Amino acid sequence: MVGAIGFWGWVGIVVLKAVIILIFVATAAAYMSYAERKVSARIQLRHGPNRVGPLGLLQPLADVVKLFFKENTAPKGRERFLFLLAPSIAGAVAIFAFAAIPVNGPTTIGSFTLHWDLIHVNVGLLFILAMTSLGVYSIFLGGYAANSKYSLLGGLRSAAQLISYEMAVAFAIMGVIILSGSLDMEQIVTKQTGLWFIFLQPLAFFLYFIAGLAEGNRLPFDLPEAESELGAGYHTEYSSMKFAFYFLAEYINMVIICSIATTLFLGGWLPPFAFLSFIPGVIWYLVKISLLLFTMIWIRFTLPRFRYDRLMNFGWKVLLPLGLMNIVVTGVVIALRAA
Amino acid sequence: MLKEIAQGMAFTLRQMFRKPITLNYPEEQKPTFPRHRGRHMLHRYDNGLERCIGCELCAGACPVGCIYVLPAENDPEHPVSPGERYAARYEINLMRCIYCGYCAEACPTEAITLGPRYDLADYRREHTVVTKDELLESWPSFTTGGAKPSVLGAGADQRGHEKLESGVDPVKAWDAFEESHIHPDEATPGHGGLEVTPPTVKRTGSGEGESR
Amino acid sequence: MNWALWLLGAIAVISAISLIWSSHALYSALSLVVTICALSVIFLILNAQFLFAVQIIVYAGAVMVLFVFIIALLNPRAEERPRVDWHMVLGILASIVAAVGVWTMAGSTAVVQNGKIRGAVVGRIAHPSSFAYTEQAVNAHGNVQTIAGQLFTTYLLPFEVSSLLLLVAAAGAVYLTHHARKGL
Repeated sequence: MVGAIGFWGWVGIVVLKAVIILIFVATAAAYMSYAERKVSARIQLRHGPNRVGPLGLLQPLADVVKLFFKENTAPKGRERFLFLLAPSIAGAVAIFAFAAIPVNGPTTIGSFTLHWDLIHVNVGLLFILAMTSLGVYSIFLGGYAANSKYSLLGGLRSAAQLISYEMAVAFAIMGVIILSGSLDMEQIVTKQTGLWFIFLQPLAFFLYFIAGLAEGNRLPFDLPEAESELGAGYHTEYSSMKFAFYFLAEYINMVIICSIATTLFLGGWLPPFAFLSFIPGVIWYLVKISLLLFTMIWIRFTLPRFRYDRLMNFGWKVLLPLGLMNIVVTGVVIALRAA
Repeated sequence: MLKEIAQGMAFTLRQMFRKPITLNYPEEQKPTFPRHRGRHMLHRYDNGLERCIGCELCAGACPVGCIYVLPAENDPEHPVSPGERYAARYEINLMRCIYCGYCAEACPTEAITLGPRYDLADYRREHTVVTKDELLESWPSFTTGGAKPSVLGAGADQRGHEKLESGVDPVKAWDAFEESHIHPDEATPGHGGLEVTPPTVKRTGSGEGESR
Repeated sequence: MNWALWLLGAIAVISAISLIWSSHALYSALSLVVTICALSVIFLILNAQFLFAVQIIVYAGAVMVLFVFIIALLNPRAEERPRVDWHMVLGILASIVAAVGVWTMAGSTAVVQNGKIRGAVVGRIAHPSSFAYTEQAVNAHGNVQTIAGQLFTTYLLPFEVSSLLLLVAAAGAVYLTHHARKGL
C-alpha cells in the first residue's frame, strides 16, 4: 500500500482523498436537496427554488446558513447523551460508507497504483453494507432518546424496516457477487467490461433498487418519517445542526445506494460504448448516479406511501423469495456453463 | 400493479416537461378582471383637475371607517378640483379596508375607484396607510393613455366595456403608475402655488370623527 | 499500527467494563456495540477484512439492533447501583485470573507453523513488537475464498448442522409466540 511513494506521500494522498470525499459528500447532499425540490416542483407544475442566486442555485447554501443559526431546541426528558449521539452516528456512518466507493478505475503512475476510493479493502461491498447497517442505530436511538411518541414509533418502524430490507439488499446483490466472483468493488466493475450486469441480472437490479429505496427511507417506503402520521418520525424533535446531520445522512445514503447500484449493475465508471472511453470515468460515474438519483426523486413524487403491514409483507414475501430465486437461477446457470 | 406504476411514472415524467403554472409573484401577477376590487385609486379629469371634491361621502359610506378625508377650500385662482372644496388629505388604512367598494359606489364624481393592484403586503405597518400622493393618479395620467379612465377599477362607470375580456395586468398598470410618480408633482395642476397645511390632528384610525 | 491496536484494545476494554457497570440496560447494549466495533476494526488492521465486515454486519448491525430494539420497547428502569459484595469480589478475582491465564497462554504458544496462521494472531498482539503481518500474508490464508472453501469442504457438516439449528430455533420461536397469542 505504501510502496512507491513513501509513508508521507501515502498519508498525503489519504488526507487529500478524505478532504475531497467530505467536500463532495457535503456538496452532493446539499444539491440533492436542491434537485429534489426542483424536480418535485416541475412534476407539480411549480418553479421550485428560484430566489437565491441564478435559478436558485445558491439555495442550498442559504439552507445551510439557516440550519446553522436555527434555535437548538431539545425536548424535556430526553436521554441527553443518546440524543446528541444519534445524529452524529447518522452523519459519520454515511460518510464512512462513501469512503469505499470507487469513482474511477485504478490509475497507475509508475509503480504506484492510485485507487479512486479512500479505503481500498478487498471486501469493499461488505464494508459498505456493514457501514450502512450501522445507520439503523442513529435512527432508532434518535427516536428513542427524544422521549416523544412520534419519534419512538418512527424509530421502531425504521429498525424493523431496515433489518428486513437489509436481507433483501443482500440477496439482490448476491447474484452479482456470483457472477463477478469478487467482493472488491473495482473488480466487480472491471468484470463488467463489455456487458453490464444489469443485462445479466435485471431482476436483481430491480430488487436492489426497490430495497435500496426502503433502506434509504425514501418514498414509497418512508414509513419511519411518514409525515402525515408521525410528524417527522424519528427526527421530529431534532432541530438546527442535529437535524442537519440526519438530513445530510439521508441524502448521502441516497448517493451511496445509487453508487452501489451503479457499481454493481451499471458498470461503474465504464462508458456504455468503447468508443466513448475518452471521457473520464468519473464523469460516467456521476452521470449514472445522477440518472438513478433522478429516478429516486421521480418515484418519490409519483407513488404513494405503503401501509406498514404491506411494507413488511412486500419485503419478506415478495422481495426475499424473488431474491432467493435469482440466486438459485444464477447459480444453476453458472454451474451449467462451467460443466 | 406494474402497469399502473408505469402509467403513473409516465404521467409525472410528462408533467415535468410542461410549463409551470405557478406565477413568479410578485414579478409576475395574474391579470385581474376589469371589476377587480384591489387597491384604491383617485382619478383626475381630462384637464388634470382632481375629481375628488372632499365631500367625505366615501368616508361616510365606509363600513369599517378606514377612509380619512381632510377637506379644504379651493383657491379660486389655482383650483385643485372643480368644486368648492378638495381633499387636502386623503388616507386609507389598507389593513382595515375590506375592499367592499362602497366608497366608489358612494362617490358622486367617480373620483375613487378600486383598482387592479393586489400586492399589498409590506414590511412596515405604517406603510399600509396610503396617502393621497400614493392614491392619486399623476398628470399626465396613465389611465388616459388610451382606455377611458373609468375602465380601471370597480365602481367606475364601465358602460361600453362590459365585454372587455382580458383583464388588466396589474404589474404593467402599476409600473406605469409608479414610473409616472418619479417626477415631483409641481407640473400637475392644482398643486402649483397652493400650500395646504393640514391641521395637526391626532388620528386614531377612524378618520371620520376627527375631521369634523 | 501498534499504537492503533493498543488504542482499540483500550476502547474495547473500557466499553466492555461499561457494559457490565452501566446501570441502564440500553447503555450496556450500546457499550457492547462499541466493543464489537473496536474488535472489528482490530480485525481490519490485521487485514482480516472479511471478518471485519461480518463482525459488524452480523453482530453490530443485526443482533445488537434487535437487543437495543427490545430494550427500548420494554424500557426497563435503571437498576440500583450494584453493592460491593462477595459476588463482585469473587467475579473481579476470577476475571483477573482468567485474563492473566489467557495472556500467558497466548504469549507462550504464539507460533507460526509453516507460515500458517493458527491462533498465532492472539500471540502476536500480546507481543506487539513482533507484529509484522502484511496484507498479502493474511490474504493468502484468511480471505473470503479461504473461509468459503473451508466452510463448504472441511467444516461442511458443522456448518449445515448449525444452520439447521438456527432454523429450528427461529421456527420454534415463531411457533411459540403464535401459539401463545391464540390462547388469549
